[in-house]
Amino acid sequence: MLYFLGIFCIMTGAFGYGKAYMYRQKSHVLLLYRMESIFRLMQSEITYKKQSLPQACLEIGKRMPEKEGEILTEIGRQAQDGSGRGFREIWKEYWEVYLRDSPLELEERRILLEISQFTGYEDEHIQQEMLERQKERFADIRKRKEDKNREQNKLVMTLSLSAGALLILLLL
Amino acid sequence: MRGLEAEETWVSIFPLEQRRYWETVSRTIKNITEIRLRANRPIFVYSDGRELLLDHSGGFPGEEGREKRTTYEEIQQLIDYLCRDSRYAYGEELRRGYFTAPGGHRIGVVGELVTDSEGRVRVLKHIAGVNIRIARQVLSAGKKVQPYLYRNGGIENTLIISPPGCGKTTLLRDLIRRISDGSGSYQGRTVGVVDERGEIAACYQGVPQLQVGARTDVLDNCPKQHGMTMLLRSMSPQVIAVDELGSREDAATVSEMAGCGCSILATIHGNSVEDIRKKEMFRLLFQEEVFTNFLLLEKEKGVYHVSRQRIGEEQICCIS
Repeated sequence: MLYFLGIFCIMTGAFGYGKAYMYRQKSHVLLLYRMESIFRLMQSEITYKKQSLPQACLEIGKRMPEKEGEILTEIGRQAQDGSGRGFREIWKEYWEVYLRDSPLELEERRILLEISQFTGYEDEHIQQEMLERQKERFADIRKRKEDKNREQNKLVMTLSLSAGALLILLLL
Repeated sequence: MRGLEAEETWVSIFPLEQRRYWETVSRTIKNITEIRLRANRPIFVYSDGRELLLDHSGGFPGEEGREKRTTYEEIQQLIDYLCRDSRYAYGEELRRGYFTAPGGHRIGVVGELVTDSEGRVRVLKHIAGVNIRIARQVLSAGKKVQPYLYRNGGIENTLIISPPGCGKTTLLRDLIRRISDGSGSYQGRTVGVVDERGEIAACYQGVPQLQVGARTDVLDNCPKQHGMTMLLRSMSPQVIAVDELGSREDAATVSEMAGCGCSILATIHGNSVEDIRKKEMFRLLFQEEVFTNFLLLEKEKGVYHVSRQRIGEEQICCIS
């Protein structure tokens, strides 16, 4: 009876490890989705309401329950409070703090922070294009990651279960 | 009308990098009404009717060549800050040549215009000159003038006439506040304001930042022709107030509104009633006798004077 309990525990552990790895990968993809949606929503705010970038951040922040929403609200609020600091500076400052504990990778971090360089255009279409370009870069990374994850997840799960089985054999 | 009661809040229109300098200037020079910045040229400020040059420390340059010159980059930094790094959002205003900063200060701009094949302005780029007109709330501005607006228990259609920079908007704002709140024997009335350039109420996200009265409804950034009709239908004001009539369409709309049971309070650029009467685009206003009461503003040695002229009365009454 104890043998069976041990086998069950080892296999559950191996399965759990595989699942945890898959969850980590999935949460990274979900984060990339959120980043994409921030840029998409900013584009919409500019297209339909002709909002300034801080106003767009405020509007999106109100509707986004995650931590990113709080950051956008704070950026929007501070960029409009007359403190003398510009949107670019505030955007960079807040996202840099956020990125300290973020799983986003170097290239993804760069895309997010770069927005502060692509502002100040006289034409709203150019501003939208810039947001579109950054959004597409996030989308490309996400798609690549999803494809990679699909393959990797199968492999990780197979390896985890095999390792579990091997451990059982060794222990027996 | 003398004495400025507003705090020197205009300094906050400058970005942090330039703010310290302007804080020094605001301490050195009081009652600044206008600041003119031109790329690579000296800064001029206007105070109490005087034109002043500034040096690098925010004071007056003792000798020639010591004056501070604004750089092109400083102007771009200022415009970016005022537009919240979103110039496209102010596209319409920039094409018109001015926009309103928080606090109601008017920012006039010049630069290089890009036009389309039909000559319409598409974009104003390379902004190289800025004229900042400081908005001030003078809460005593309309005190002496207010009684001259009333006749037979109602408010007469009144046109405030003055050359630029004499305080038309300041007087109009205070009259709106006084009519709206009511005072002494004057009962408060519902006032509708069409604030086309955001200078009267200085609204931020629709909420007036300057005192315009408890019974005042403001339609912000709305063309006068549409705004007056909208206000009449939606808010039934007893008085409609507009700033700077400037086109035939404005005159036609005012004329139409005057026949709808509400009083009109408006301002216009000019030196005298005769001056306005001669202008073709305002002929309708005089033909239909829309305005019967005229307030004339002029400035002499930094002191503002108001006089009143009425249709059918030869004598001009000096108010202050």
